[in-house]
Amino acid sequence: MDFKKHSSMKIFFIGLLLAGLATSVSGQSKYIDRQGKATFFSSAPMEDIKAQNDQAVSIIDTESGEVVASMLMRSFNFRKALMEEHFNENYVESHKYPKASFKGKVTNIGEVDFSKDGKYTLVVSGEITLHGITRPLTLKANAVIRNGAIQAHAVFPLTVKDFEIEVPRLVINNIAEVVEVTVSFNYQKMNP
Amino acid sequence: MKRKIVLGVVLTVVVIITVIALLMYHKPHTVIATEKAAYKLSASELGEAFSKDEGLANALYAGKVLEVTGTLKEIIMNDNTPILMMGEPSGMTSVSCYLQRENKDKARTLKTGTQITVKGVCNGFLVDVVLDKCILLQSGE
Repeated sequence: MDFKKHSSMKIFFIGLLLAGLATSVSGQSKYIDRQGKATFFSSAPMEDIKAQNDQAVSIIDTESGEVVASMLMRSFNFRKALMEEHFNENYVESHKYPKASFKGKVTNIGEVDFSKDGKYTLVVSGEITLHGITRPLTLKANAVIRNGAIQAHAVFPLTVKDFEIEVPRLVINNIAEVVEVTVSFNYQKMNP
Repeated sequence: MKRKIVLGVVLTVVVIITVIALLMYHKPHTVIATEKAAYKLSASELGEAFSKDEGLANALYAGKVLEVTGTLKEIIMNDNTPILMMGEPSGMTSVSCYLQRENKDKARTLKTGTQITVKGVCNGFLVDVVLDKCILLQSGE
């Protein structure tokens, strides 16, 4: 197959996909949270480190099961100013990689009835991009459908090294190799 | 006698270094009210800068304290944090300004459609420009 033809076909299909996410069949299936919470916790011999981001954005499409989430690294607040500085300047390098994002799908979306109140365990599978590195990520989220809103909560581990986040040896005792990430979103129906 | 003096000097230096290290470790977060703003600009200028060239705008504004003036489009109460949406009345929202909790009551007195000036740290651009840890400088007409 002619190479040129192949790549322009690829672009055409990707365009179709994007258009598909933008305008679903019913147009009534997208939910959004613009003030989602993401926390990470690192337990280490010298000191526990905790940071919280209250400005995460996420959209879920209940028809296709697609989920996207994005947050600014600078929105993570630490109790210690010096720690926040090191986090941004040295570890995640916010000036180079200002955001972290996730793109994936709820693989068991078919099991969920979004029209009624209920509780579900969602399996979400996709890719996370952090510090410019993209890795596969699958997690389980607890979801509660109540009064037309979707509350989702998930806890999962991330290995710091996987994202080429370098912590200098002097500080290594302070930071765990695996951090515990918690995300919490309260999705409301998106206005068309 | 000489040895005692040397010892005294070394100990003093060690104490000084320890104190500095401790002060740095426990250094406080930037106090927005007293920090000088790196730039003073309008919400629409800031929004445009990010939509034209996000990389350049990040290099200029992200991580810096900004003083931003613009039309208040909407007020959202998120838990205890009031969020002020600023921008041109006709256009898309340019700036989301997250107020410090102490400003909660002040936020309630604000009227949409009026000009306000806020001061905060620019975290970058997500759905719009994010200004964090904001204080309200001016409100009114």
